[in-house]
Amino acid sequence: MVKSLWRQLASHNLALTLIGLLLLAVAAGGTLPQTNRLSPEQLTAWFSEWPIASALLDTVGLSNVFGTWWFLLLVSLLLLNMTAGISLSIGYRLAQYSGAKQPQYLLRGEGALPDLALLMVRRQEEGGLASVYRRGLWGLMGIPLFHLGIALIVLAALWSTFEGYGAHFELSEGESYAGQTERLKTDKGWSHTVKFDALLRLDTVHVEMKDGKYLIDLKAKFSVQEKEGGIRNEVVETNRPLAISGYRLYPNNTMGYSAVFDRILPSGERRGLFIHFQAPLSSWGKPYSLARNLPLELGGVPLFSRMTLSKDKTERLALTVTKAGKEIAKRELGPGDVVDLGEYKLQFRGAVPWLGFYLASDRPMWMFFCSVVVTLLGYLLHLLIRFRRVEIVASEAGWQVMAWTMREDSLFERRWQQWSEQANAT
Amino acid sequence: MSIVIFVQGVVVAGYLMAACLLFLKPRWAGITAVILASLACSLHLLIIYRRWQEIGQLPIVTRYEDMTVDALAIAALYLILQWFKPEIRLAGRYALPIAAFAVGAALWYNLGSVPFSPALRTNWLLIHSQLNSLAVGLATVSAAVLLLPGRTVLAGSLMAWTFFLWSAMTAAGSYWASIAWGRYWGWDPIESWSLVTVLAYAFVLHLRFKPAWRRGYRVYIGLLPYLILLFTTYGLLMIRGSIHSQYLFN
Repeated sequence: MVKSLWRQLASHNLALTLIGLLLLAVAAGGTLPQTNRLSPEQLTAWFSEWPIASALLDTVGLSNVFGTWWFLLLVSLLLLNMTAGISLSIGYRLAQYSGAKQPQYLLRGEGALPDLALLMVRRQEEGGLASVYRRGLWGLMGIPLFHLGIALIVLAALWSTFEGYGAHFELSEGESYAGQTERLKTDKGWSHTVKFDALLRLDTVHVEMKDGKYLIDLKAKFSVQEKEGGIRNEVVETNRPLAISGYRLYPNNTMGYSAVFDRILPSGERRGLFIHFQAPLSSWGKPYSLARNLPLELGGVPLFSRMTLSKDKTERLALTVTKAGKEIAKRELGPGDVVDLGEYKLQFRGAVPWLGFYLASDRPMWMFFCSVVVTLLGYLLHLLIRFRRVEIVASEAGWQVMAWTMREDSLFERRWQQWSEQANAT
Repeated sequence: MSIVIFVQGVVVAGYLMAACLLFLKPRWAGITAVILASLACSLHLLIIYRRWQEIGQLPIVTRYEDMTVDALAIAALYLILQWFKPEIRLAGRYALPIAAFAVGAALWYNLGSVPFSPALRTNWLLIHSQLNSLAVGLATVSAAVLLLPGRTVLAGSLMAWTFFLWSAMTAAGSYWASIAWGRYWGWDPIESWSLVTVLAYAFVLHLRFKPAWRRGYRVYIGLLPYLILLFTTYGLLMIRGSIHSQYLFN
C-alpha cells in the first residue's frame, strides 16, 4: 500500500496538476496588487478606490498570494511529488543502464552479424560473445539531478523565508552606525535579533550625475572597525556590497541631504543630531530647497517642527517649532547659529549628503545558488548527452541486437530503422 | 537618425520578402529566401554594432535597443539552426515576420540613449540580457517550427532548450539581484512572471510525454508558453510597475 501511495505521489498527472496550479497562483501574485508590497499610501488608495475588489481578493487569499498557507501547501506538494518522482526515476534509469528493463529496440537474425556502424557502435567483436556498448550515463542522470536541484531550491527558499533578514537605514556623511536597532526599518525577518559587532563611519558620499538627470556613479567610503581588528577603509557601491559582522551592506539608491546639528544640553554636553531630507536625483549638485515636518519631544512634551533646508551659495535652515499650536521658535539659521528650544539649544552646523543602505543577512543564499547550479547542470546534461545501450549476442547460429535509449532519441530511431532495413535486406 | 530608420526599414523589408519566398514551392525560392534573410541579418548586425560604437556602451538598456537585439537573436538563431537542420527552413515563414515586426516596432520608441546607472555597470547585465535575447529568439523559432506539420518532436527539443535558456536567464537575474539589492528573490512582477514562463514551459514539456497531446489541435498548446514569454518580456511593464522599470528605459 505504501508503494502504491508512493507511485501515486510520483505520478505525472499529479505533477501536471500541481505545476498548472502553481503557474496560476504565481501569475495572480505577480499581477494583482499584493498588500504586503504596497506603501501605506498605495494601500489606502487601493482599499478606498477598489473597496469591493480589495475585499474580495482578501477573502480568497489573493491579496498576499506568496504568504498564504495554500501557496505553501502547493509548493510542499510539488516538492513531495518531485522527490517521489526522482526516487522512482533513478531506479528506472539504472535498470535501463544495466539492461534490466525491456529493450525499446530488438532485432534477431541468422548468419553473420551485420555491420553496426549505423548504430554508432564503434567497436565490434567477433565470435559468440555478448557485447554491451553504453554511453551517456550522465545524460541518464540529468533529469533526476535537475529535479533534485529544484527540490533543493525550494528547501533553500523556505529556509530563507524563515531565517533571512533585511532592513533599511540612512547614514549621513560623518555619521556612525554601531548596530542600533531603532535606526533600522525592517523589511523581512521581524523575529531576527540583530547582532552587529562593528562600528561603521560614513566618511564620504560620492554621487556623480550626467546631464543633470542620470545617476552614473554612487560610492560610499567607510571607516570600519569590527570586534577584533583595527580600522580599515572600505568602499560600498552597487554590485559591490560590504561583508561585515555576518551581514552584507548594500546601497539602496535613496539619498538626500542632512541638516547637521549639535544639541547643547543644560550641562554643556554636546550631542550630534542629523535630520534627513529626501532629495530627488535631479536636484543633486544643484541649489535645493527641501522641507519636512518633524515631530519633536522636549521634556515629555510633544512639539511640531517644520524645517526647510536650502542651499544656494550657502546652507540655510528655516525652523518653526510649535507647542500646542503656539509658536515657540521661528528662525532662519546659517552655519553656527543657535536656537533656544527651552530644554536644550540647537546649533546648526550645515548640511551634508546622506545615503540609504540595506543591511541583509541570508545564510541560505549559498544553498539556493548551489541548488540553481545543480538544476541547470542537470538539465544541460540531459540536453547534451544521450544515453544509449546496445547489447549484442552473436553466435554461429544467429545474432540478436537489443537497444535502450532515452525518450525522443530521434537520431537513434532513424538509424535503427535504416540499420534494420539493411539487416533484413541482407 | 533618418539613416538608421531607413536601414532598419530595409532590414524589415528583407525579412518580410524572405518569409514570402518561403511560401513558394520551388527550391530556388528557399535558397533565395535564406540568402536574403542572411543579408538582412548582416545589415541588422551592422546597425547594432554602429549604435554600440556611437553610444560607447552595450546597446541593451532602452526599449528600442532591447527589441532590436531580440529581433537579431530571432533572425540569427533561425538562420543558424536551418543551416544545421534544413527541415527548420520553412519555419522562417513565421519566425522572420516576427523578427521584422520587432525591428519595425522598435522604431516607435525613443531612439535616444541613456548612460548606465551604477546597477548596470557589471558583466551580469550582458549575461542576463543576452540569455534573455537568446531565449526570446529560440522561443520564436520553436513556436514557428511547431506550426509546421509533423515537426512536433523537433519543436519539443527546441522548447527544451528555450526552457533551459530562460531558466538560466532567471537564475542569472536572481544572482545579480542578490549582489545589487541584497535579496535574490522578491516576488516582483517581472520575477513572478519569469517564474510563470518557466512553469508554463515545464507544463508543456511534461505534457509532451503524453502522445495524445502531440496530435491535432492539442499540439498548439505549445504556443501558450511562447505567448506568456512575450507578455513577460514586452507586455508586463506596460500594465504593472516593477523594480526593473527603472532599468529599462522607454
